[in-house]
Amino acid sequence: MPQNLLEIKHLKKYFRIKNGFIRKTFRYIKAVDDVSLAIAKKETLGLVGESGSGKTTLARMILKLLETTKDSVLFEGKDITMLKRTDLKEFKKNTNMVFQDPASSLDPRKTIREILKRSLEVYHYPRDTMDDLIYEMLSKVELSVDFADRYPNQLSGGQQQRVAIARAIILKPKFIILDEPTSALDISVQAQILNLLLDLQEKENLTYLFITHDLNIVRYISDRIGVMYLGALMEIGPTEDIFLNPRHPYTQALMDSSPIISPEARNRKRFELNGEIESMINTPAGCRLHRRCPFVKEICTVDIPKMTEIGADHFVACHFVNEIDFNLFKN
Amino acid sequence: MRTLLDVKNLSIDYKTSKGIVNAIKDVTFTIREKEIFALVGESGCGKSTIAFALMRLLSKNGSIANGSIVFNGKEVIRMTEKEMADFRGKEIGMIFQNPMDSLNPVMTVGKQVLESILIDKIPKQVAWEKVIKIFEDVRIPDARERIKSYPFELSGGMRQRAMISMMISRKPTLLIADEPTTALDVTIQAQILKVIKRLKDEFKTSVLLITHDFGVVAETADRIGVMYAGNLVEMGSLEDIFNRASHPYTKLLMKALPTISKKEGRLVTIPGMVPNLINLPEGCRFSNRCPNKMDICSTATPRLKEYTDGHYCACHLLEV
Repeated sequence: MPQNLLEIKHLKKYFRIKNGFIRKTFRYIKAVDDVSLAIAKKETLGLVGESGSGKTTLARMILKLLETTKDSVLFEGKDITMLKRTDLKEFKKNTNMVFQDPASSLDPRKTIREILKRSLEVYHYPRDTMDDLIYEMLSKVELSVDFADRYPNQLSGGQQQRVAIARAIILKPKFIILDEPTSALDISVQAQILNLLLDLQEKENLTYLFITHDLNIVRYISDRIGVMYLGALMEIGPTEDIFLNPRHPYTQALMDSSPIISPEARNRKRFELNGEIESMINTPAGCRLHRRCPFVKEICTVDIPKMTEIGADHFVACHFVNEIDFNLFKN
Repeated sequence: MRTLLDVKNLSIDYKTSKGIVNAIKDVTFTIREKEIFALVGESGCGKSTIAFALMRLLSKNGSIANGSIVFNGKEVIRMTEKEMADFRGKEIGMIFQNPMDSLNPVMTVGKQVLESILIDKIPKQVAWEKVIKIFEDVRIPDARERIKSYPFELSGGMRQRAMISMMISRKPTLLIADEPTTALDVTIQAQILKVIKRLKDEFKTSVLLITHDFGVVAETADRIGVMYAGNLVEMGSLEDIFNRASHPYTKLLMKALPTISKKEGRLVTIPGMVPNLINLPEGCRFSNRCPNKMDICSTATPRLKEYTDGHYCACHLLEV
């Protein structure tokens, strides 16, 4: 069993919203509610879920871009919520993030050289080594040296994303969060970026948390997959287990509604949930899916289901995981 | 089946500060009655430009340089503005990626659909019943209540349904759907695609589906046209394109799609990038990225030809 690089225990983020002016009342948006997971060294964990499921909030808390409401994130065994200044700087050096839209994550008034140099300056790298390091990074992301003096708007979307990746790896981090890194890109470019990320992971021993809504991409790139719904983790397990044997009703519905790139799959029987994703403001008591789930029973409306291990490393949060048969509701 | 739309040798130019851009070159395709025809391609390939040309809604600097667009026997290019006003909506309806941009934010969705029904001068009470019926047709739950909602009160999926209602209220024979599900989550996307397929099956509406998402195409289209840099490079049935692709670009694209896991190998990538339309390579527009490039490819433009029944391809390789 490889050592865990990152461990999250019962992580929560509640956003408080105010109502009323004179008599104020407060309600909470439970953006992330009691999520626990671990990521091993050199592993890619794919995190899937629809918009509003809390994937990005979770990612931001892991990188300490957002304070947690409750409990801990352990990075290399240390609790990042308690880090002191120097340790915090070390932590930030070891972690980084790549965003969905490269055009808005790169400063339009700076050249690529300046963009890449910035993090080196923060960490007081010797000035005379900076240029060499920048050229090395550009070649790692398969861009030629003359890109260094261009501005982001002179680059295509794929090239911009390569620069964003170069910036993310320039301090030699151990852990990178990739938040929908290819959803703004065309198919041919998407394949280039995905392959680049896999190559870099091997060469630089990186650990990835890959956030996406595209199940085809997550299947290609991840070792394990976690499925989130309304701020809670519903199922987590090895990629092929999740794809071939999804056990949570939400996972099954997500798999069946995701388009399969093959004409033969068109007439497959599908499992569907009722209605649409509910609002985060009034998350249902008990299991968050219970109002949409065809298997709902009394207990689902009262108790939050616990994660149970149903196979090697495969966990599901459903009260009736061993009883439900999706075929009953497929059409 | 009868041909509904016949586009022949369509070329569209845009005037820009850097010169004339030949955004669409010599595109020929047909859409038959009761079918879903998908135009796929990467950004900038001209798929949306074609849609706007069909509606004669090109921006001011764009113009149809050549070709013909025949819809139901009528030449669209020669219609007067007055005829066009009647034609749009009644013959061809169009929905876009972001319904919030197309809906009026200060008017209830029911009223917006009502407006388009009232064009046909029917009593208001009857019209309201029609609105409710259409909302039910596109599977808006609680239709009688939902007609009173403003766009901002609805979810993305419900807004797109409201948009579809407005379009089908005038019973067009062709619906152009330009990236209709790109902004939606996958479970909602599946529901909207189901609605679009129902339009074809129950209301006999043909659909021109414009998308970059091959998953969406695999789930819905009957026939497919693949575009690259303003050219239609291949056209055929769903199986022709997905299982028997013959143009090098389509073949590579199929292998670049993530349909495997990393343990099974790496995705194929297409070297280089889509050319700038101002600075196109001579001859075949794909020639500078094509792994099978021959001498003729950089001098002569390949023409779209039918090789097997209904399967068209524009590539010199197939002619040798």
